[in-house]
Amino acid sequence: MNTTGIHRTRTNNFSTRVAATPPENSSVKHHYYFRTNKNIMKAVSERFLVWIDAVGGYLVCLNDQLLLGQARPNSQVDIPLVADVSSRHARIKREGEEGDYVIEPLAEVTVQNKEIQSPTLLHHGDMISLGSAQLRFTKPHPLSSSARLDLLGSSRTSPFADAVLLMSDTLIIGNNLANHVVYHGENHQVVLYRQDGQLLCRSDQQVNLDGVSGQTNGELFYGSQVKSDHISFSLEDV
Amino acid sequence: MKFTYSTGDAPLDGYTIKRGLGRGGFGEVYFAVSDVGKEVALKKVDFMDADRGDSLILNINHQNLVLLFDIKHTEGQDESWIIMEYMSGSSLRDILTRHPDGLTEDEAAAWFFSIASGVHRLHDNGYVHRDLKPGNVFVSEGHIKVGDYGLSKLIAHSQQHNNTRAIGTCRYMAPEIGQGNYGRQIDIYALGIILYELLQGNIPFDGESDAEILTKHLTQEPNLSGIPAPFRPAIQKALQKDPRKRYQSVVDMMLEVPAPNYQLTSGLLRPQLPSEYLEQLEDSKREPAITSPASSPAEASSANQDATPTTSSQKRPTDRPNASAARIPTLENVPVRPPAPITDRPATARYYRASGTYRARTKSWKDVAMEELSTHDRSQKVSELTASMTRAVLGAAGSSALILGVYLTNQNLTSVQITQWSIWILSVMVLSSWAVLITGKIWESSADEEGSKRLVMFAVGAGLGILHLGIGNFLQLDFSSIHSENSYWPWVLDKWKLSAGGEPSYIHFAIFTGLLFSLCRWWLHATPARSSRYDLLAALMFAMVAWFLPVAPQPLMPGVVGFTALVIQFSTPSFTVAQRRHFQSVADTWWQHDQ
Repeated sequence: MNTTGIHRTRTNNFSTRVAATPPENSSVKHHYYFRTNKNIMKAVSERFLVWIDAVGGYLVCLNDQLLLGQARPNSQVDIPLVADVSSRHARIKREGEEGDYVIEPLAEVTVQNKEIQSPTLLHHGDMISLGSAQLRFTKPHPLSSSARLDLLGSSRTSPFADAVLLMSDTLIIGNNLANHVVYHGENHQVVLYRQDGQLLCRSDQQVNLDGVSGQTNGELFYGSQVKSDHISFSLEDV
Repeated sequence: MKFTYSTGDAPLDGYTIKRGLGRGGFGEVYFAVSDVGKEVALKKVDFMDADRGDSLILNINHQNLVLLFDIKHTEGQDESWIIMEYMSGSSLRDILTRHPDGLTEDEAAAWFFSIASGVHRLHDNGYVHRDLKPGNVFVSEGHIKVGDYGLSKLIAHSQQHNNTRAIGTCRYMAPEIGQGNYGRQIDIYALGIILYELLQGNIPFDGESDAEILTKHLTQEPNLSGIPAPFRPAIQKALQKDPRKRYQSVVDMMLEVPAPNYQLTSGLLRPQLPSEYLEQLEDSKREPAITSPASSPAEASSANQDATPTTSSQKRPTDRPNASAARIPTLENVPVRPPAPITDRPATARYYRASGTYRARTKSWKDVAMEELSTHDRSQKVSELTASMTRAVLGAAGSSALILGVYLTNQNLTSVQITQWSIWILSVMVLSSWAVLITGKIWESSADEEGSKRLVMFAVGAGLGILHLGIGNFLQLDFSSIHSENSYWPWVLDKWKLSAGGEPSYIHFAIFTGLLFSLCRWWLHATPARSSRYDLLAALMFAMVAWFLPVAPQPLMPGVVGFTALVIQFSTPSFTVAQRRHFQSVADTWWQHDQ
């Protein structure tokens, strides 16, 4: 069951927006025109890649339940691992109001060097091994229930990503170590957040969003590009 | 950081850009995936005509060097792409940022040995890296690799890199680079700086500005007090100012650095060590008897133990200088391979100019100095300006006293008039020099059109002229009272319509003072980036201009103008000869300092 409601196609919503009268203000009109053109662009579904210049590439997973397993053609896992692991190796679930993460072993799984047999609560900084794959689980931001999985050693995700981000409500990109994605540079924070099944982004400084400059807020689609002096990223379909 | 291309772009046929990785030497670097899924790093460089001879460096294969796959040119785009191995981990720069106090001895040694092994291979094949720095060293799954090598040689052919080049770091630059000397010793020097930074977290020669750092590289001895004793001799010798006193090969340096215990290096892998290193290490183990008779057997054996790759940090003797002194005679008895000829020719801007293929304007030291000045922040500029303005008041007071003593007292003036004139001269000098100091400070890092500067200076001068006359009128000066016999000032006052019946008018002062300030390039005397501190000839020229422009009584006004120029030169410090020489060396090697 899809609890996020985010991966339905948004074309219908847009056609109603097109029918509405465009605002008078010319700059807004331009924006409106451009954004409505996004009809042809797909809204993000449960997984996407965010490529951040000079920082890294991240696989973002939106679902509350994620399956980890070996990367194979046509495999149905959410987090495909290029490693000596089972095709369905473990499941990570986000539960409850607090957004606690629980790992459920489907094959041999150890957390903090202890083999687990039943669903186990994950804590910030826990080391997880699935077969040959070593992962570190972190939940860096105290106010966000999103988490991050880093692959250590030689195993990697397919498609390649520097880390997997388990996004619940918000993802914070900034130069603070408590952010989900940390970059070294100017103080500029960008927050990706989910609202009414849409993926939106909010920036504390003006950015160029899909060719429209001076934005601090807006919806993101596959192919969306956010650019500013300090931070630039784009979204890509998995 | 802004990049030209973003996710999904395919500027080079067969590869799709995923994201920008950074800006390395010479251009933007991207992470890209080929059509069949090979992950690569693509470096975009402006047109580069690498011929086959130059690109032989593409075929160097070493575990501690980032693999170069190929170089491709896009048609009609004037872009070249260097296709190279993608390093998924961090650069040493990132790691040092995360460890501001340095790494452990074992980790530092592991990094050093890997970098040195890669650099040794370059030297062995006749290349000099020339741009070794932590930003060019990467780790991926425990493998440490040196990147960005040999590119300066390939890219130096490009003719589009002159003024657009940003001057980057000079923190790892050996002092002799200033003399256009690019032997392999510059890499040894950089290795010394990197080893220091690995252990200490900071670099031995740091400063607010490039000029400061360069001066320290030239003159200061590194402070090794925070460096663990076993590493000190190697760093000391690698950082010698005279390249002849440094290690003559990377292997010699490696032999005097304690090898790490790879069990304590958090996943860093062993390097592909140079065979010379292993041979000499074996020899020094096998022939401990060769150690000098003065050193005790205990010392000799501890020296050999040091060099064993598995020595743990706890076992290291702290009295390292003795130990290494004991080993030197050992090395002399080892047959050392003759050094490979370094074919890398210093590709300085000068060289290209001489060969006639380099037509574009090269950087001058002033361009570098301006870039350096542009890094000063506002508060620094304000404090520099205040200091200059204070000095200007002192200088103006001194020179008006001089004019008072030499000139005014010899005129037929009452003591009240002399006082009035002195006050006027002082205020004219102070105001004029302040105006020039302020504009000069604003423009010290700009190489804008002279025309617009002259226009601004005209306006500034016109304002000053009005002020000068205003002060004169307030002091009730009689501008027709003093002038020399051959002066045409009385004629000006008499005939010119600009003068209001024997009295100069505001329009007159505005126009002529404006002209005085726009015809002469005053701002050049109010920047640290000038060729000499005092330029008497220019001051004389300014005075001449003031003579021919009937601004105020002659020769009083020309004298005041000439002295004002000197006051401005006195108030603005200029770069020292050593600093200028360094800027020149940076300018000659602009292609090296790209971040």
